[in-house]
Amino acid sequence: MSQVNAQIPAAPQPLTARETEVALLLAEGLGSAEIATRLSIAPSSAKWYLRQVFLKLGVHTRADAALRARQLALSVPVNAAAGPEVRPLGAIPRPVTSFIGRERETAALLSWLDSGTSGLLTITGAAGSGKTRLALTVAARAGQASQRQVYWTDLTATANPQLIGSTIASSLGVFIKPGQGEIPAIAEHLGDTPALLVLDNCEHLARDCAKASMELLAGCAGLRILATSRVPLPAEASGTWLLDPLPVPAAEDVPAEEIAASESVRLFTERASMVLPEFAVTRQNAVSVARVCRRLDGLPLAIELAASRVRILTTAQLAERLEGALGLLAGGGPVGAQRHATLRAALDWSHGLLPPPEQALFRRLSVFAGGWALEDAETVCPGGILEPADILPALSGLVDQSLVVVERPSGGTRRFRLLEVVRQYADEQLRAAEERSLLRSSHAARFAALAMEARGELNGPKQPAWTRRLEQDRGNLRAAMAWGLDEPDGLETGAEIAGALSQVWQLRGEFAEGLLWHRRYLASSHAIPRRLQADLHESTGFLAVHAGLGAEARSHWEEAAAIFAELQDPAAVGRQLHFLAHATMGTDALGAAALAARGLALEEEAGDQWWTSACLFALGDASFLQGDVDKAAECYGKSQVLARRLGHAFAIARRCVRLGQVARTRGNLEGARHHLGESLRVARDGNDDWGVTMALAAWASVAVSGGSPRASAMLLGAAQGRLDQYGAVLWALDRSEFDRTAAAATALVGEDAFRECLAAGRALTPEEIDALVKELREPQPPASDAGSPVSAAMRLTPREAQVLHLIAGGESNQSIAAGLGLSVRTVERHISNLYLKIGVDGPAARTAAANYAFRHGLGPEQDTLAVPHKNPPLRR
Amino acid sequence: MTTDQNKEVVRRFFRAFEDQDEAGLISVLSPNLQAYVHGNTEPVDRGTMLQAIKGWNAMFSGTSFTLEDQVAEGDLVACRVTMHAVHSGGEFEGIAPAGAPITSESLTLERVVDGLIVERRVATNWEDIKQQLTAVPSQAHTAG
Repeated sequence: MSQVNAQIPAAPQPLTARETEVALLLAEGLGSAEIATRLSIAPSSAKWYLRQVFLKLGVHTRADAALRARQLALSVPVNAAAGPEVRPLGAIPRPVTSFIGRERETAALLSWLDSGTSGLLTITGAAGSGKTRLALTVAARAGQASQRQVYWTDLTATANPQLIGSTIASSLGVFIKPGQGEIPAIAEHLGDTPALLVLDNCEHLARDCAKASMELLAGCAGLRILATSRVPLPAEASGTWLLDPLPVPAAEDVPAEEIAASESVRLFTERASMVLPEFAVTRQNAVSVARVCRRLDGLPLAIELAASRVRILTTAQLAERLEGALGLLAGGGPVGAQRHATLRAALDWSHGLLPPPEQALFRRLSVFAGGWALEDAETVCPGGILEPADILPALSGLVDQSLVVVERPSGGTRRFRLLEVVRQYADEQLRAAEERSLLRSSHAARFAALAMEARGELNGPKQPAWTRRLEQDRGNLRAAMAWGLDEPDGLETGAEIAGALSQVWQLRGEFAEGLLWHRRYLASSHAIPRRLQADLHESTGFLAVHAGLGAEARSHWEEAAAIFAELQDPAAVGRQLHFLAHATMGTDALGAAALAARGLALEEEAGDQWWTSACLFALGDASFLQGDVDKAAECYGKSQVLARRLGHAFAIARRCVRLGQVARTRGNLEGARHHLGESLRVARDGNDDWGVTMALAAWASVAVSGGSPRASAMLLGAAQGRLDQYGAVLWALDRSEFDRTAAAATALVGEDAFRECLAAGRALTPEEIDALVKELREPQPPASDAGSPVSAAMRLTPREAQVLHLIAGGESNQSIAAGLGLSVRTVERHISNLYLKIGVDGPAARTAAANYAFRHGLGPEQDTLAVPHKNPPLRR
Repeated sequence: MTTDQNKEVVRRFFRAFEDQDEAGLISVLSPNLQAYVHGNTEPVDRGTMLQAIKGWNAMFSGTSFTLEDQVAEGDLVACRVTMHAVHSGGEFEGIAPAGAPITSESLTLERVVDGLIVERRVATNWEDIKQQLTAVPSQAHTAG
């Protein structure tokens, strides 16, 4: 590692934004005058910029510069001015080179899509025969021609069969709910809508891909799965399409026109003209070109490797030298083995022509799993004969030789990759050079740094861009974590990556993958530093609790707390106690209060404002659940002060929800509206889905207390819909309030109407929800007739209003019963019904009810207003 | 030597195998190694074993091992290990290389004394591997 990293000076001079613009226009074929016009700069400026570009790209002619600019990654966002365009996950990669031939195959595969004979079809054939390119073309055409959704999953970097499901889910952007398997989650997402899923590079996972495909097809009537694999997928219901190499000219001495029309020659010509724009098949070179294509058996990859050499070799020389390289190959044997041998020989030949720095870079690039960006190569690959400044020109050389594939950027950074068969070949060279351990180590360090950087950004405004970046580097991150498990020196790095990615796994619902890595690291026999061990326990708990594994989460947090205590880190212990308090809340509020109080003491002592605020929040919840509203109010108030000081929007929104709930419980609907209004606004502004859901549920309670049970039921439906979407359950406090509000609303409108409103609420758009909340936020208009009961009390039955009136007068249940000539039990029933309707509960309910009565003109000194038994309230 | 150290010795063996690092292999294999592989009842010695690994790496590329489980007691270390490789280099058991990837799970038992593997027993399903190697389509026909 030190060998490689010891000599990393500054990266080669990057292009400035303006130079990049110039280079891109150059790549489009524009001259300096046109570039000047396009960019509204002086022609002399354009020329000056061009010189800079030439210098930095290390080229001398315009043709070379254009070529380089076209083929090579300019590592800055291409459409920077237009804003980052985020490629949807699972979108089809767009190669920069064009697709030649295969019209018959493409048409046949497109008709398979609609014929419905079998749901799964595997394109199989030798490495380098163009399986992926054919699948890409079919996928692109299928997407254009029909309503069919098209998804692309590359399995190259997925070595572990257990991760097939999460790889597919992730490329489809499917969120996996806790307790749900990946395949059922994908099936639910796809439903019966027409879709094409391409599974690219399945050969190393053929059995498991077959199994996953069959399960998916069983659940999705409109789904077709197209797989590419060197070996057929062993599934009974699977069709196999054996892809032959491209047709070659029938002989070398047929007319030049016939040679030029052959698909393999067309491919040769197209690729050759990329490096030598004037290249064409002529009477003079036709025989040689035919010989090359025939000798290479029409294998597209081998033809591309050969064609890229026409800049240095004439076609005659090319044919002769290839003949020499391939002449040793024994004929005969199975067709698959022959093609394999041809491709290997072509790779050997192409590799042998590379100058040593390019050979070094080529083999080192095999360490990347699933592609890389220029900066990755510049960080990981230098060492020995390869200086950091050599990376860009060497990479450019490899692109020119068709050994490295450039992906067309669609926003963000341009990426490169090695075709899998080429990567395998490069990996052989890497091992033979005894550089593999070294490179894996610097690769792991690079991606650990990336993961750590991402961890800091995942809560910020750049979250979408970072999530996408991590998704692109999923293979690299997995490879780095696997390396950490193999190599004691890499253990810390790998464990740090696992910890840093916890939030990404949680965001995407990929608990299974997250837990898999965490459990492997925790089970590792190497001595992990205690602190890292504690960190891993903490993040394992985090993943487990979101996956619905409460007991496992608790045991990890307890373990983490014990280790942090041993390390004398009280603030970290307090954090674990806070997690434990939340995990205990639903079953044991008293225990949760004790945990939160201990955590609070530790955090206050340590002076950590954020975790102090969090512990106060937890203590508030535990107190609220126990009925101690005053204590809860005090905790939330203090917690909110800290949250505002820290400016943490998520926290502010959630504390506003709690303060609103406290106000409502105390009968102060105005206060509740105020706090909940702020909570919803802040949560929406911060894209805080969870905060919005909490706020909606709390608004539902205000609605029922304020006399709008239908609106309440709709808001409950809206909140429930959001929860179902994530497979989440509300926190203990919100859950119990949700249930009470639902019961109250049901009591007021009847079960059928409640269910209708609940269902309607699920279907509300965000705008409709906002409109509903806005209505609730307007204070209720004063009753026009002062003599009638105020609106809020209207939904009480006369008897309930009467009982409320007497409660407000301070009477006990016994005396109310005696006064009204009822049994105590009947009075209790009236009381529990009216509590539900006015939305008060807990030990403080009686006080809150009295408060409510005063506010609504039902108090003892307001007898003239509340004469319910004479003046029955109207039902709305 | 602790059982954890013994486990690490076996891990180093797998890493050196992957990296084709002969010096690394020699550093963990005892000169008196007795290896029971391929279901043979007679053990082979270290030289034979090193030759066999070299031969394997000439036939297969991209060999990687994932230790699924590893347990140790006394001087014994047992592993459940998944191997991935690609048949690309040379003929194996009469099968010409055609780029077929293979995945195979093995159980291994190593005896580690003073930081060196002195005894090694491996159970691998070779029939399954051969089946995977011949799964590559060998006929040039097209079936839709």
